[in-house]
Amino acid sequence: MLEVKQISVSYGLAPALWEVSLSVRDGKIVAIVGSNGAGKSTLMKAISGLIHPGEGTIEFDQRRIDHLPPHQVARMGIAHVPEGRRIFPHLTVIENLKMGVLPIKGQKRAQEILNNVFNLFPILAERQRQLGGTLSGGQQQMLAIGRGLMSDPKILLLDEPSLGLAPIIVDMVFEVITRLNSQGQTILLVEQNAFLSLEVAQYAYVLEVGRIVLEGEATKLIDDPHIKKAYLGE
Amino acid sequence: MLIDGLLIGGLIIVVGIGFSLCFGVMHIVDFAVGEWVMLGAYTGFILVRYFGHDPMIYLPLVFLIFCALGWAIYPLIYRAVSGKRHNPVLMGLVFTFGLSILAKGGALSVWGYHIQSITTWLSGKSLALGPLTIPALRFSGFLFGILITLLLMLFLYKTRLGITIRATAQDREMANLLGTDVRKVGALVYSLYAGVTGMSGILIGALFSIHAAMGVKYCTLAFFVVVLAGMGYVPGVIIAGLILGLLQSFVGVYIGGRYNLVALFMVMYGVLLITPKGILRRGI
Ligand SMILES: Nc1ncnc2c1ncn2[C@@H]1O[C@H](COP(=O)(O)OP(=O)(O)O)[C@@H](O)[C@H]1O
Ligand SMILES: [Mg+2]
Repeated sequence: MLEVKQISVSYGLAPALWEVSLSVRDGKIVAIVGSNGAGKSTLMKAISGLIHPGEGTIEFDQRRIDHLPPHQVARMGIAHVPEGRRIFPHLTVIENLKMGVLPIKGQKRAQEILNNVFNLFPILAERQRQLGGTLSGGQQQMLAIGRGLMSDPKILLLDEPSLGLAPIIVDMVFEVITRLNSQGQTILLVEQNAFLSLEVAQYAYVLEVGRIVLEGEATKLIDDPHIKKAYLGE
Repeated sequence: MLIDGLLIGGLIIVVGIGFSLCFGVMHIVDFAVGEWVMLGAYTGFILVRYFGHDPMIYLPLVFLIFCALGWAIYPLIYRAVSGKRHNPVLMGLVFTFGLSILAKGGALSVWGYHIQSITTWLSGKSLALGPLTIPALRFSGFLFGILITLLLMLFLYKTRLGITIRATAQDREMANLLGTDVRKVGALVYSLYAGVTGMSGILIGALFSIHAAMGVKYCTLAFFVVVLAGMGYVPGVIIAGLILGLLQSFVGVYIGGRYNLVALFMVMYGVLLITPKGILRRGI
């Protein structure tokens, strides 16, 4: 479904990604793990069109998307939930969610998805009229994911959904990720928290200073000695 | 005098809201804001001279004309502020400064130094409100300001498009990621702003007088409004517009009209020194 082929990205003269390739199959959770500054967010931005790779190609449903602007990538069915949640602080919860709806989707479908989002995160239904900026970090993360889902995406890109959250909330977010996947949602998940993401993912890539150094079935990577040493703190 | 200040405030608010939205959404500080007022005033003047009737009936037409002008000019401004420029805000400032000089120069060569005025059936009339008498024209300028502000607020807070505009002003990149064509939103905002500002020009022209350099004052006022309100915060603009209207007539009456700008500058410097983000600094 998503094929990243040999992309290189640099910020001005500073390279951030070298010849990175990855693929995500329909219905899977694929994780990218790597420490701070490895280039995970850069990879997500390249997929969603916020930055354009200097070399290589990105294909989505057999169509090249690496030259498209973000709003066109979004309309093709890629929802990027960026690092730091990026809630519109002065819009209410419901307005934030409505911003996630693509103009091309029908009203009825939008209502269905909204119900599903409220099902996943009942707290959002309770706080519909509250301003986004006044929510707690955990609630903002739920809102960010919910807003991403409103576009009924073919693939959901989650960048560090556990960052800065209390352990109980992290568990809850990961439960939702698993639940979404069991409903058929394809997810590309970026995490510093390697253990959690390898537990929910089926396949994973390890990114180190801009290069993919390891990839494989998530269950195998958990037992990989290098991973254990570098990311699982054992 | 208090009333007088509030009445002028209505028009300042209208000019200020558009100006502030432009910055919020596109990060364009439009130096040509005063020239939109000036061109609007001249357009009203010409319409009245050639077609007669009261200038008030041309408000909607002038709105449409300036919406179209704004829409036509926007791609140029967009080019100036986007791409790989190092300092887009500065580029926008320089570009619109150029536009403003062009418009001023053009107006000067067409109409010269003569000061023109627009008269409407309201000119010279006044309303009795209890013990107060209020000039009817000023009052209608105020009503116009309130009405346009209310319409803009309704649009910005109650429609999907308005919410998209506010979201774009709050986080342009995020709005883009959610499928919003932020360039189109910018074109819409700029066009709306040009239309509203040009339309206010008629009333301002009728209230005061029309000449090529009249825009400077409104450019200054628009800047002051956003300094007071913080860029892009609509309710702040309303309060700031009223404060500035009051300040203007206060200085005009007690100190003398020619100290108006000096007083405004002093207040602005004061505000900037005390609270760099504007006294009412909040979001959109
Ligand atoms: N906007 C930017 N401009 C310049 N360099 C950047 C920018 N964003 C990220 N970088 C650099 O690119 C590298 C990868 O960053 P990032 O993709 O954010 O890593 P991660 O998400 O894995 O923590 C880092 O060295 C970072 O300093
Ligand atoms: Mg990151």
